[in-house]
Amino acid sequence: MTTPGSEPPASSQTDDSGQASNPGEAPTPGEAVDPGQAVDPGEAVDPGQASAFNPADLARAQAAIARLSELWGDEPPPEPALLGWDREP
Amino acid sequence: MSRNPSTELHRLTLEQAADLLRRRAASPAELCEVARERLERFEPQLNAFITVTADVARAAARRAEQEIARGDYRGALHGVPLSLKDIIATRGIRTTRGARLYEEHVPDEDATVWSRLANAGAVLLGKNNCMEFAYGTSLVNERFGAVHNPWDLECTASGSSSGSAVAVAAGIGYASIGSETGASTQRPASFCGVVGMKATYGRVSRFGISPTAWSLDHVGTLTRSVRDAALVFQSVAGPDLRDPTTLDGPAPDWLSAIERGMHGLRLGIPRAHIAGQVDPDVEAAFWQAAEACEAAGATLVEIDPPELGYAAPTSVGMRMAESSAYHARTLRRHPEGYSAALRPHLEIGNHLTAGDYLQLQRARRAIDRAVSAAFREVDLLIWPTTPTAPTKIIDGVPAMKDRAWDIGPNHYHLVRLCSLLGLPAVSLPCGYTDAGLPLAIQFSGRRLDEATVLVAARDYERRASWLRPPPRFA
Repeated sequence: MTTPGSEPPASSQTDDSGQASNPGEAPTPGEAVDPGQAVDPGEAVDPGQASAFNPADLARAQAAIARLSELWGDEPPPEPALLGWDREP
Repeated sequence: MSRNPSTELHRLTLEQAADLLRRRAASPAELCEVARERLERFEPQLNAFITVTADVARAAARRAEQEIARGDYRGALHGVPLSLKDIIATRGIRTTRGARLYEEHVPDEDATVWSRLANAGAVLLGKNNCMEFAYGTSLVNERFGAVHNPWDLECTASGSSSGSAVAVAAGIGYASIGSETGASTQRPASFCGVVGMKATYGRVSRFGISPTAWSLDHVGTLTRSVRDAALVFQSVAGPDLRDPTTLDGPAPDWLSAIERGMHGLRLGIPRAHIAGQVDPDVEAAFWQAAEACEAAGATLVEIDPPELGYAAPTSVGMRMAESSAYHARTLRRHPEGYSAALRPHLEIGNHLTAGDYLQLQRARRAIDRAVSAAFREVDLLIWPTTPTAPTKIIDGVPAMKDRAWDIGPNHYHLVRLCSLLGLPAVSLPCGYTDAGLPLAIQFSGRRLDEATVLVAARDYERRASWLRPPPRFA
């Protein structure tokens, strides 16, 4: 789904290839990243801007997510409720 | 036709204002000027707006006046001033998403929800302040500052639709459009003493609205009455080819039967997540409201599916994953455009695995099945909208008591349940603390059954009459 106005500000609207970047738009299959391709050094995170999240927060989140299996116990897990899921009342 | 000169235009509901306009007992320019004057007077205290569109509003009001005068009346929104949360794209008008990265961004196309309101003749007062990228309720907006609650300026309006709720509470305009991913319409509505509504997932197009989490995002409304909420939603609901998650079929007529009363309805109460899980004054006000519903002929049913005790981590985890995915590329390329407070929240989701995400979606399915089973026993679920009265803004950071990852008895599961499952919900005031701060009750229903939610909320509103303006902004 294209979202109007989802483009970054004009000063940052082109990536290294010169193509307009649109964070609101999902990449087309043709834009899929080759998993064998190294990360573009130009896109590497500046160490001065390194992630500030606390690994303990991730651990806590994943521990809680793991516990969600309690919802089905020994039963087979239900199928995922993906986007566009059940709309029946 | 004339109106009573003592009519305080800014205190009318949208429907009342529309009636004056339709009968030409008031003019769009008059309503616009009243709203503009209040905005100018109170905004330094409230900080509810990022962009004020005074000239645009005046022009739209003049146009509406001319159209109404020649008989081209478009309906209840024609000439009515309102505002939009600043994640909703407005062509030619700055839309910042509450973020430094977009502080100068001007869209070249309207969001569908605004396009429909504009076509109905609504007048845009401005773009409301909100949490950065509409993310979370416990983070200060570093670029645009915190929004102040008109009931106590030292208190938060919650979020993320903070400015929207404040504007409506302070009598600046007759409605605002917000959004909801967790509880971003319901919580500000509760904290500001106004009506907050979200409809079934897919009722209203999200085209042109900055996503927070695709499978959780909803459009929300902030109004001064339940009927107004129904009226605004009817104006914007309906299929949109540009948002493939929208439901087929026209928007239902929710107003025609809204006064039928809640007699005979069965109201489910998940007591395990209320008793001892909310502040005493919140619990007391809630039970008083529940008893009022019983007196109105509804039956109260205690209902506690254990699956409810997993809703908060499921919702929060899902938002974490989807928000991180949405922002991944931009965050990598423009980290300076994000606040230091928000960046960790958006980065952490990139470290969740595909297995984690599928686990979350499976959990949503399991919770949904349990709630659907509950809805075979009851017509609606009710609970206190928030676990506390409005909390203080401390050192610029709104203080909250979220327990996002706690499994088991925890009111936060209820806070996030309706957006997790795409259920319709209405929050409205149900009392005040000893300090005069608003408290609220939330009515939630089956998907596609906004009508029953509105009927019950309207009946309670009519009987209990808790809606009133903040004393300093009356």
